[in-house]
Amino acid sequence: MFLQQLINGLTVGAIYSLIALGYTMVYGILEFINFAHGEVYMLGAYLGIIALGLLTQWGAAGWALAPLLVILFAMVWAAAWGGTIERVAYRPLRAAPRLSPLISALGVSIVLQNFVMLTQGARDQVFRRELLFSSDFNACGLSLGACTVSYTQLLIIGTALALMAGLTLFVDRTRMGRAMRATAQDQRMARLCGVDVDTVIRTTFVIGSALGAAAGVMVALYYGVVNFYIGYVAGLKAFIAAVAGGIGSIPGAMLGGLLLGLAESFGAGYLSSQYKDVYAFVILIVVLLVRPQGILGNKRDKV
Amino acid sequence: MLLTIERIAKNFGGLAALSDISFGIEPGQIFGLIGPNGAGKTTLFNCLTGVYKPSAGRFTFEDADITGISEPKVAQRGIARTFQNIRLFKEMTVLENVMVGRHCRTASRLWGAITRNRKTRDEEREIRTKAAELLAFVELSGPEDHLAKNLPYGHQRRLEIARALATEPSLLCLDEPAAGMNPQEAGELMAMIRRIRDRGVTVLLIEHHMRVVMGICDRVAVLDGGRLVTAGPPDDVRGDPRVIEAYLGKAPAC
Repeated sequence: MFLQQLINGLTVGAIYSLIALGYTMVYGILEFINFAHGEVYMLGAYLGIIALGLLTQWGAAGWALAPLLVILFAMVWAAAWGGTIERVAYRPLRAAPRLSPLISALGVSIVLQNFVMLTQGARDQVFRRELLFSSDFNACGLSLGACTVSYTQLLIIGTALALMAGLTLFVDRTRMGRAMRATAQDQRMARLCGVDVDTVIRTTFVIGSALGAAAGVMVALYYGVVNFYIGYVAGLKAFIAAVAGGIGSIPGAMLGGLLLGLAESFGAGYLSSQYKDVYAFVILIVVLLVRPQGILGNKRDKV
Repeated sequence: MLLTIERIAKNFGGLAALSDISFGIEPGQIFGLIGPNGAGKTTLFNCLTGVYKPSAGRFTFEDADITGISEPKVAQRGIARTFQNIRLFKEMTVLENVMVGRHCRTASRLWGAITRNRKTRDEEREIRTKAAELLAFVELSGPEDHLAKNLPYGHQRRLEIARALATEPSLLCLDEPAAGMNPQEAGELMAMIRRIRDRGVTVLLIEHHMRVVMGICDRVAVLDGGRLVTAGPPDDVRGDPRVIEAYLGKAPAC
């Protein structure tokens, strides 16, 4: 039971982490909460379904690389959405009072939800993973004593870890990654070093959206059903994960997401699954009481 | 002339922080900008480096009009600066701080980072080598991997200069680099500024210490109350009664 809950928690937690990264990266640079981010995740799930549909039509769904194509399609397409949202809804408000982009984000969120509802229908959409994998893959997994780790779970945890490792390398070791960190710490000084802040901000949205979309595809794969409103609760929880981990901190978002997933899973297993959504808020409140800046967050000393 | 400043003015509301400033800087010089507190020295730096837009006037740098261009473009053109209150990327390592300075001379973006193509890898290596070379130049090779915020004060100043040099400037603007330094540190700094000039970088230096300025500058401009008092070789400026007045006040008429 313990091990099973641990695996389940890690799977869901990895997904939360991926979404939380989008919140925390944007906050780190703009000090702004992108409330439309949950909707980008939802878009990702739908884009996964669309990609799967296209592959099926071309008779390529059973191909070994098909899952990779599905996830890449969703990531690239959602990245384009993310970049466009930034350009259209946030950049014009860069100099506006801080509340304005927040309202704009809520607007984008409503627009995206309704856009998907109108174009894809209000009913649940099914992600037919049986088209993607053999029935063996869907039903089986590794057994570790009493618990089973399904191949789907392994795939989700593995992909999420790979994406997070990739992001860490990008931020630590590349020119754009350094420019992102520099911009987050001192925007004016970064500009004086020749950093084009617009490019950095766009890159941040593009990466965050791609990660969110990957999470969307994983959720579709895991639960098999998606709806146009899934972005709301998932976005809220990922936001909680980002805040609990320390908003603005990339490792914090990863840790916060995993912690949240584990809390939900253990809470549902040992206490009551009725209160599943409550655990996230309990964690948030406890963390904020003990350590207001979040587990890995810095106290910001702004000059 | 490397930089020509023509009739620059800057108003904040009704306050004239700078009015009618004109002088020129020849390539290869160490040019001192002095004046009492509030004279407008830093405001002039801010106008030059794109932090403020001047209210009037013109900056001509290497025969191009650069008045009011944005900060990244200023860096691209070849003007770098440091700040009076040190502005390092505190949570990044010493080496990374200098590497960020290479940003305006390099090009790879997200796509290059994802594909890790040859151009990106070569560029990354070049950034690292150049940054390490500059750290050696300012004698900061040891603590490369320390976080910038953990460096002692004098080292932070030198790191800021290394980062500015990483942008390959033809004009380096230093805002009171010797502030808070003891005489020995200040002496070392002056030697370093000479070595920077010897690398072919023209230096524009804001400084309070008269002795420092007179010792190392080829030319000096004096600001007071937002106006240019005089500009010329240090010896001429030193004896100028208007300069003495700006610093010490008017001699009582008796």
